[in-house]
Amino acid sequence: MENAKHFTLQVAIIGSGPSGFFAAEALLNSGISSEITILERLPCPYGLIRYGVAPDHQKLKSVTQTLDIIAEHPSVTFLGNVEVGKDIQINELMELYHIVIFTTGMPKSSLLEIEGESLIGVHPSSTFIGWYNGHPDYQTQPFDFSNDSAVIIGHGNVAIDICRVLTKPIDELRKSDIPETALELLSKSKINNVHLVGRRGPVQAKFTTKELHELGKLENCNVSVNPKHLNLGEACLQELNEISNQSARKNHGIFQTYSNNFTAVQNADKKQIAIDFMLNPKVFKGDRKLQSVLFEENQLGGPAFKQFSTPCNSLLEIPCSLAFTSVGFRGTQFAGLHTNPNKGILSNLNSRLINEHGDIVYGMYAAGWVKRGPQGVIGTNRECAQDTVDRILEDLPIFLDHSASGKNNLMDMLKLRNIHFVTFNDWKIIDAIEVENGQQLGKPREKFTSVSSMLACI
Amino acid sequence: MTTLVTDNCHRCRFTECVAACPVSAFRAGEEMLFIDPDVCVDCGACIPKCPVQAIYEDLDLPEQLNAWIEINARRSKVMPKITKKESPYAGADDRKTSLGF
Repeated sequence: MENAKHFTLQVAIIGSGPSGFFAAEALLNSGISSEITILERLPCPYGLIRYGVAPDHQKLKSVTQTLDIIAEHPSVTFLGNVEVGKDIQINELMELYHIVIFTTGMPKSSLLEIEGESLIGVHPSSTFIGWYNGHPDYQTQPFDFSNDSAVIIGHGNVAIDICRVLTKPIDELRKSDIPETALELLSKSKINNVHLVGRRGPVQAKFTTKELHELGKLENCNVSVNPKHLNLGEACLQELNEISNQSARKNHGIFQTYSNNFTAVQNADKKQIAIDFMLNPKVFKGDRKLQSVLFEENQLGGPAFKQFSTPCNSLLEIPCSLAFTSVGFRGTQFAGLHTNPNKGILSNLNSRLINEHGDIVYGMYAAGWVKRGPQGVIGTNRECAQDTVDRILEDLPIFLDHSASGKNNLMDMLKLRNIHFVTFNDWKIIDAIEVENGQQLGKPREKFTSVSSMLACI
Repeated sequence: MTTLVTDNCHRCRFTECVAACPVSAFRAGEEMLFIDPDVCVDCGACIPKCPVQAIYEDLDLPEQLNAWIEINARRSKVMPKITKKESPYAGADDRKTSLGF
């Protein structure tokens, strides 16, 4: 390791969501001299903090202040509006850098792959979340809020976020950073009934307690759970009483309070949110446009923590003109790298990426959702990125004899290709204009919802 | 809304939580950790990391632990930042067992 004294590790990070920034942070804290380039497809940083965290969770979005400190470190260069695979190829990055870390997240929703999923009115959650968060890729989605009922399939926090945006009073949403165009459409919404539907039971639901609790705090909504689902079988009780299963126990307490609303005289002034369990979606029904979702009732079998659902030959049809599927996400695929077909992650051995033959591709790593799947909250990715950087440090001797030119050559190449890359200082100009435009409307910011409008600021 | 550390952390300090905090909100007390409520963004990543379930959100804090809200707010202001995982106290595993985990 004699060479290490004069060695500067050149690192490219693909994706500027929290995992990308936390990987940079872990490298900066590692004691190894490194120069880091964070590449981002859009002109703006922050990934899911800007485009995934719900717009009414501004405190959580304030994590960007921590990411800004990382971005402004002298060894870190942010280059936005650069798409890897289009503007620059992965093999070119590997010539310019010792290390490439993929923190590309999971931008696509998993499909249910059932009949009728392409009907008008059936939407993967990612398109709706992208739309109400102002993501440039999702601004032309035709959402129809003109009917009474909506169904959300999936029992995780994404489903609850969607439910809140559909039911929260419009004057509350106006205080968030939902773009004006989306607010305009949401303000005319006629949705009064929302079904949050899961395939399994209350003990298996993936909601975090905070999000579940928050739903019940919506003053204009009646949140209900059918009490029959809280009579748990032996295996479910065993899962609930497992000492590590603290969140399921907390959630169960909240479900119990919601079950008191089930038989209450329904207040016609309130919107109804029903959390439905043990329903497996079979068919989205309708002629061109969605009219209802047909479910098959499930029952659970098998031992605790290995329970599986089986149909019990009873059907339930929920009429609705709008349905969202929130049953998981998938990562972007890259040529030459193996994607796990079941999990949608980049296949990896302890963060080290592998090719189609199952061999480690030296110098390529992953962190965040694209490494481990769409679980955990923002901070979970900090720990995950540290783990990736620990593996890089283990592998360091491999790279000591290699030269790498890093960002200067990359920027020259991009200029030659007429790629208008966006620096962090450029982003700060865009950011300041968004905040100023928001202030006039009494909201934290008014986002630019197209790449061209962002680029026009600089 | 506040996230806080309670007395199960006392003489354990496993510090798994610290690695998962995106905003460096943990403060190292002599015998336990505290969370600075003005820094924490309530993302909740630390809660499942704690081997002795010492971390709570105030919305589901057992009543007998209410005093810890004020203790975290006060002690976090005078204790140093901790941003990386450290070794737990000697005897932390025994204490974990005695707490029933």
